[in-house]
Amino acid sequence: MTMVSDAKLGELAARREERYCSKLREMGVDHFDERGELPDEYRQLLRELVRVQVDVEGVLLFHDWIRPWLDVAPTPRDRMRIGRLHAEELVHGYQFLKMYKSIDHELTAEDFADEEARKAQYIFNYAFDTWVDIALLNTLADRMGAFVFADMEECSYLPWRRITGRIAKDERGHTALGFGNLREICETEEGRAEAQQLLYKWYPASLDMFGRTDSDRQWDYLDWGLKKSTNEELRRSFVAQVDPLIESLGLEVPPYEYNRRFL
Amino acid sequence: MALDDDEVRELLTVARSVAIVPASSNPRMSSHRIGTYLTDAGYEVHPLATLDELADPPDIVYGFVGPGDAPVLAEQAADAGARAVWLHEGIVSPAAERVAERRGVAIVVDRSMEVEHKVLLRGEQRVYFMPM
Repeated sequence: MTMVSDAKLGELAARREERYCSKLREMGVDHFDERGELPDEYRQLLRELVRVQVDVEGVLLFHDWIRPWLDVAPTPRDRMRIGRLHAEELVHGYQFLKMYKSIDHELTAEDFADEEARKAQYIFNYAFDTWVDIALLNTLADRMGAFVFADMEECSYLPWRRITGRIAKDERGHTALGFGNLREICETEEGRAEAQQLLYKWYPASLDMFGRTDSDRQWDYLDWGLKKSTNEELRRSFVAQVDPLIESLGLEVPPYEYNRRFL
Repeated sequence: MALDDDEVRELLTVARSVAIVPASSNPRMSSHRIGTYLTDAGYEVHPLATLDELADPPDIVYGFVGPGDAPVLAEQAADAGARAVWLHEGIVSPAAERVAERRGVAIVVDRSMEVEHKVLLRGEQRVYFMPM
């Protein structure tokens, strides 16, 4: 199924055990807080992590990109649910904007004026043409978010740790909403065919969101206790959960390496 | 080899007719929605169930098919006399690219024709946001 062997996964796990919080142990601390002084390397890594969330969620405070979702939501109930999802994303975005300000500087509309300069992942450059796209995105990408935030529930930066459990819960709600919508879509032959075709678009891009298996940066995050799992471990957990769900709808999961850009 | 941005821009500029296959009559489906956009953009759009329904060669065969069906679509597009075969976002197929090269048909992969039209011909930004 994957190009990453069990032996390789074992190596990753052993290295993760060795590296997790190693720099915190060297310093004799187990966390940092907003008002404390941050080591330069830690601040830089934290800034990168927060910036990703700002680019994904904080940007919604400056651009109304979810508004078109309401136009394709098929029923008043669906529009209400998408509206609630939108509100939760705005809350997440505001929390990360505040966090970015506390560790670097305050971002304003000017920082988001050049949309091409955003560092968000490539999945956000795919078009959402239909309700099926949105259902798949919520099923897959929001689930990815839930995994990442859950992995950071013991994050060494306390302001992140305080909010991550709630955000993970919200993201689980979004992915449940998406899967419910996808299940309804797959009740018709035409809907299932559309979902199958678009799965080839959203599934590999969602797997790529976890990052490269051999990423050097993941070890830096582990050293400082910002993250707890390697990229591939999280991706494997995601696949183990989501593949059976997809198959339960009569859909065929794309091959693990299909159209992947960050193996 | 799939077309690059400049080649896609050229294709979208010279093309006049697009055969969409399989095309849905349901406005909620992407093939229908994008077909409507392309019609509004001035293309002569032929929504088809299969390419057998074609009367005249189209400039572009726009396939809403999975990667497993892409090589056959490329063969059919060549048989139909199309200038290019276009595979929608998310669909890549080295086998279809080989067919296209062998048959002398241009191929576009993993792209939305609506998005490329907006970005490459109308100068819009390539950003479509979804939250996580």
